[in-house]
Amino acid sequence: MMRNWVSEELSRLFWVLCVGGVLGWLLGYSLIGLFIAVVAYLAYVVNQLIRVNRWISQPKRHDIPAGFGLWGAVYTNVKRLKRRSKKRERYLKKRLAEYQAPALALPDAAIALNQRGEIRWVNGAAENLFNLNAKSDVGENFANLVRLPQLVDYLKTADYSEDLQVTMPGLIEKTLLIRVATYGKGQLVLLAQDISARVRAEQSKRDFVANVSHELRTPLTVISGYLENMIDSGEIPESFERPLTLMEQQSLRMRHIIEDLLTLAKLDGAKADMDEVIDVPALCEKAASEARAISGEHEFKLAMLTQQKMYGDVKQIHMLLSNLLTNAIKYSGAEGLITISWQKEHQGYRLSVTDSGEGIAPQHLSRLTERFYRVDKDRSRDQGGTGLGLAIVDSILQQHDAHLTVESEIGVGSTFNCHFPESRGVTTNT
Amino acid sequence: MNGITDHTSSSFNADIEHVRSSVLEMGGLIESQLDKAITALRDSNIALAEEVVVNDAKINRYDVTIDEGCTRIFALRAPAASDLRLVQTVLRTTTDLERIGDEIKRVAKMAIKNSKGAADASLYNRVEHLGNSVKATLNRALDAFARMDVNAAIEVAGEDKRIDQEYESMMRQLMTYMMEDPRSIPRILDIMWAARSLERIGDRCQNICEYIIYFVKGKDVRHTSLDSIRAEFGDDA
Repeated sequence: MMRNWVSEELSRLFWVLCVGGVLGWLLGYSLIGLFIAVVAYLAYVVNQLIRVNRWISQPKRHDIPAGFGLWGAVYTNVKRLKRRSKKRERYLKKRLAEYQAPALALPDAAIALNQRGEIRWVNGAAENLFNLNAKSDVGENFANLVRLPQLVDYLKTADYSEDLQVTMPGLIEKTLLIRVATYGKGQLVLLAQDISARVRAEQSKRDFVANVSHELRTPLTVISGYLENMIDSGEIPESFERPLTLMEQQSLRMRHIIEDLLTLAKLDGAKADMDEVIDVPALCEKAASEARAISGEHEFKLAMLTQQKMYGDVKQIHMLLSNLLTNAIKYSGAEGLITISWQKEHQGYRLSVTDSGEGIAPQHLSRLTERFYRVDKDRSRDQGGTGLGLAIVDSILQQHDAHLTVESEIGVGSTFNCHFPESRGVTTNT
Repeated sequence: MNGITDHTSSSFNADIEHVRSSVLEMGGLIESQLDKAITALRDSNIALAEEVVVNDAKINRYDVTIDEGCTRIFALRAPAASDLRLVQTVLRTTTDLERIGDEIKRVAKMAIKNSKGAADASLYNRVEHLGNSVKATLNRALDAFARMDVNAAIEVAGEDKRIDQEYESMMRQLMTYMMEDPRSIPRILDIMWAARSLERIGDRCQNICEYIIYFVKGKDVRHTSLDSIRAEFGDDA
């Protein structure tokens, strides 16, 4: 096909030259005739080139030029190329939309940022949440438009290992959970989830527990007060003696539960000040002597492998120790051995309480810190526990960025380890 | 922000963008301060109000750093035309933002002082309402600054009138309260000061909007009536 056009064009040139030559020869100037023919042919070619150039530079304003011979073939081929690239463009656009559609439909806000923090792309949820415009705000600096101080600092530190929870003021205050992932060369994708409803629900749950506990305390005080009076008076008939004693015991237990619930509610609230310096060995000693006073028959051993002091809330750590020790006393039978140890471990410090009790079956271990969780339902009540001790321990540890692990072997005993991060340790001189 | 700063020297670009971002960071801090101050006033929350007073120092530090940044740009880059206007705009905006910070501090101090006497709840509601209007205006003024959006700036500048009206009607209400019960005058005067501070913040937001128009259009529109600004720049863009 190609060659066809070429030979046709060559034959056209030949005929033009022939006509020019023959006409010139007839008039007696054959060379001039040939020359004029060449010039005419060149003029035709240049004219075509001009039209092609005009069309290529402004394809919208000029039509595709028409031509015949080789020029016609050029035009047809260019047209075909153009059609093909248009088709390809349509195809790519469709694929791109397919890729973007899921992200656009995400219920959570998603924003892509380049390495300078400028917005590349925003989905609909993000438009609403941060009051952005997906079209006109592309290229704007995200931090400039959102401006929440916490979020700006978070993006500045460029440490995204932990998620950020931030409250967004407004007529209706919103709480957002923000997660950031990096990709490519320092580009970011930021996901923001509106967790206001969840936060409000948690808050109202906490408030409810705290309020109920508080409201129950007053009537209970009256009941147990009168019970105590009645028992002490010595004027009660014998048949009432046992019921009244049981009632007094149970009302006392209820008071403990309520006090523990209030403690938990307090711990769940605002983060406490953690700047106090705790002399852990001294505190362990104090807790052990208190525990000795309660039990009387257990043996206590202190293993202070370090004299390290720690930053934290003294009252809370004291409560933590007494809770762990009370548990140890309760579950390690008479004359058991209870060891308190304080030592340095890899990346932090460990405070452990070991008892020589009957141990806990592995299936219970993960649920121990749940409120009111009982390993042995019938037995624990007799021991007079509230079922909240380990929940309180867990809450206190969370406040101190620490966590609890439990090792236990049936028939040998259990160890409760509190792992504190290295940052809690007081460096020397202080 | 391809249109605002586009230079062959990329470090110049970075410098200018940096001060601009700092202004908006400062603005973000001020927004959260205002939010806290209004909440503190409404809930008589002394701890929150004290936090606001302490945090004002942070705003002042921003003011100083941004000033230094602008001075450095003047000295090293000798900016011209729109760059010059941008640096001027940044400087003036910072000054106004710093003053807004001071007004917020004043509101917080009133919250501390007033926390003892439980004033009429309806009064606090009105202050809160005024505060929320001011908060929205500040937010939109800073948005307009971030986008350098003239139309938004003109719109926000118009909003100040509404704040002024709200303030006026509140003043009248407070005066009737004072006439009814002269013993309440000291407390109501305090509330008046808080409201006055909030109203001043609205005025300063209007100033910021005027600087935005100055930067984009190159014409100083301070001390010009809003209608003539609207007539000149409102329709285009």
